[in-house]
Amino acid sequence: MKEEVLIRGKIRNRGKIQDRERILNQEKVRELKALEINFCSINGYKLLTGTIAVILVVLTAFPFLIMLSVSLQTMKEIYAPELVFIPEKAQFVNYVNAMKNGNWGRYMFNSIYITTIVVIISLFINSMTGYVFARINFKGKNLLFILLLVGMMIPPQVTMVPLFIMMRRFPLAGGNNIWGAGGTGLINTYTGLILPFIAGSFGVFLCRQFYMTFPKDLDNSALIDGCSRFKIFVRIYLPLSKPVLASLGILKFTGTWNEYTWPLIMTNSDSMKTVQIALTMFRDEAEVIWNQLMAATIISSAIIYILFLLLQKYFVAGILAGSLKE
Amino acid sequence: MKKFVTILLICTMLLGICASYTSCSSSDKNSESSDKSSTLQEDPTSKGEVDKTVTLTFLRIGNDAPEANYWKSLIKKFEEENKNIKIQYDDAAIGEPMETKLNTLFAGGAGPDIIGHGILSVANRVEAGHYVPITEYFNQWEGKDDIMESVLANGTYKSEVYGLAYSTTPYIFAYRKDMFAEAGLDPEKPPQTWDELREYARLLTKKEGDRIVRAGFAFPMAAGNFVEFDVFVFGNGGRFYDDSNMPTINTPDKVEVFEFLKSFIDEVNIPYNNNEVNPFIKGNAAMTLINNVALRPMLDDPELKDKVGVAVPPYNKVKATFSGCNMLFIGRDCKNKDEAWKFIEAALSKEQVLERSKQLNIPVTRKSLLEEFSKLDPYNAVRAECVQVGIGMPRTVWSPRFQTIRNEMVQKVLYSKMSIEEALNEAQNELMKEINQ
Repeated sequence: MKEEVLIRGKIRNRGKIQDRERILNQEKVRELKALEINFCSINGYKLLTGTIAVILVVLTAFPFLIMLSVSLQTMKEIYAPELVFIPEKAQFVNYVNAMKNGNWGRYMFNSIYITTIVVIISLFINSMTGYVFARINFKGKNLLFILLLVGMMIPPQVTMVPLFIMMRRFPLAGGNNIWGAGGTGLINTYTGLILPFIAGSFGVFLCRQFYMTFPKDLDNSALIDGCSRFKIFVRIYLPLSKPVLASLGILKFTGTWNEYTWPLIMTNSDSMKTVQIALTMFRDEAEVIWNQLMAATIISSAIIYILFLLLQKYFVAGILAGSLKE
Repeated sequence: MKKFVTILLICTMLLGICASYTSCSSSDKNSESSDKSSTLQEDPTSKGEVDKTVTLTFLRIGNDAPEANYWKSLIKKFEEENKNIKIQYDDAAIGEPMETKLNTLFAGGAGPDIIGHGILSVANRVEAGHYVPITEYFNQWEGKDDIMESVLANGTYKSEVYGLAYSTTPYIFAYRKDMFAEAGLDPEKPPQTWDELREYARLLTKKEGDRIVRAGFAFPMAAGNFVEFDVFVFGNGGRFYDDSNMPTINTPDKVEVFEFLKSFIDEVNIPYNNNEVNPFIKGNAAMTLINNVALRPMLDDPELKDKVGVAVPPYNKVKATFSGCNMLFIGRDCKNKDEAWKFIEAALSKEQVLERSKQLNIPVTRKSLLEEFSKLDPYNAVRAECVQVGIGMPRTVWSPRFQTIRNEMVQKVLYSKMSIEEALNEAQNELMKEINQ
């Protein structure tokens, strides 16, 4: 009897063990399946986003690639009945010829000089004004801020003629007397090309929004410690403004670098021309010298590409600044 | 702290003023005293006499380097010959940039002394008071009878001469001689009439199934300025305005042009926009109407030597074509008109007209130079003839609007979006509405 009981017990145990093993196996299978599903879904997601990213990259890079391709083609290839994407022989001489077509050293210098000065001064002015609007309370602040926003809504074409007259009538410049008469004022000068760009509603607005996210306790504790407003701005706010300054800097840089109309009307000599004006020199009454135009465009835009690559981290951070309220 | 801020502000202001002075003086050196533009500078000479130096500003339409270089060399020569006159050269790209710059300069009271601009600018800028008449100067000029009548007409408005042409851009008829020979046509006998053009175009068209792979006659189906349509209108004896400067769009001659084009163009054409490259340049067409300068790369291509022919466009009633031109004007703000005219005279001298035709491949505008010009290049005789029979854009205040309305009208008819009569009437009414406004 005892043996029978023992055998039955063993059988039961075996059955239990087998059941446990079965359960364990089933669980393992389930886990593995879950993992598999998870793995598949992760891969599927990555594949989808990756594909979309590649398509977007190709779409955005396509104009640049066409530009690069055309810059290395002969005019015959450009005019060919079928689209030529890869030139038979890369014509690097187009770059040399493009640079010989005008005083490009001077145009580059003018653009770099004007843009650098504009970026430096405007960053300082915009951030300081933005700080004032974000932190200092004074009478008429809101009205002033609304006026500033209105400035953003007026198209530059509307203000162009009055601004030109202001520059021409600038007192004590370019042969003008104290009343701004008698000479040409700031026409055909670097100052005339820089002054209208150093301020800007958008920059002030961007900085204000950025500084609004800072805790007010920062100011209060600094004020208790005896810090002046200017010191607070310079020692606390400015060092924390890298993202917004970088993004504003790059926006100002591209805006000033790409500006065409203002330098067009403000300059009247070859020595004051900027790169954007010079790029139109490849077109005459009948045709456009596309390969040289594209070569010159690549050279002139290379500076912007480099700048963006260096500052892209801050650029994105700055764009997002102020989008979340803490 | 307040003191510090005040001092900082004052320093910044002073620095700004200094900077403006510095940049002014440096740019003035470059631009040769732009601030003294159009004024007299009195410099005491060693003998105690007064030497009056005049600086004139000159703004030209188009900023391509070859032409800019030509003008700079002419200015240098002119200044050497006229020690008391300085010319400050400037240019702006064709189209919107030139208009923007000129409008802003005039609005700011700083209009150029001498302006190089096109036909479309004449009526509007004369009416706005931007150009001054030069009839008196012109009547006393030795070259007045030598200028081609068709060219002179472009700068004349309400019986006054305002501008004189320094460059012309006639549209010519171009065809492929090798394709003519291949189709059994005489390569030396291009079509002269509309009927011949239609017949030749059909013979020269190559198709693969329903697809046209080679156009018998390339005609734009969209355009920035549909001057190819104007060529047919002028060749049919038509005009776009009458003696009182009123539009004459819905007239029988335009109906005939449309009927002619519609009768064959879809069978023989590869559609293109005339802002783009003409299929003829790409080797995809046997015949076309084209700006003579745009054809130059083909004529210079050794592979196409003797394969490209040019002629005056085929016509129905009158031998005519479209011919644009750029002219020299004297601006409203010019204080030294005599000196400005002197420069215009120098630029339009026989020597300079011929020099431009050599350097820039521009057809001559003086009758006495026709023979010499024809000898320079085998294609020049046709180009010169096209200038002589050339007609430009309307010299009316509504001509900029006409350009847009005419373009839309031609497209509507060519794409059969509207009947010929409807399109012509609509264009006429729109222009009349514009004028009445």
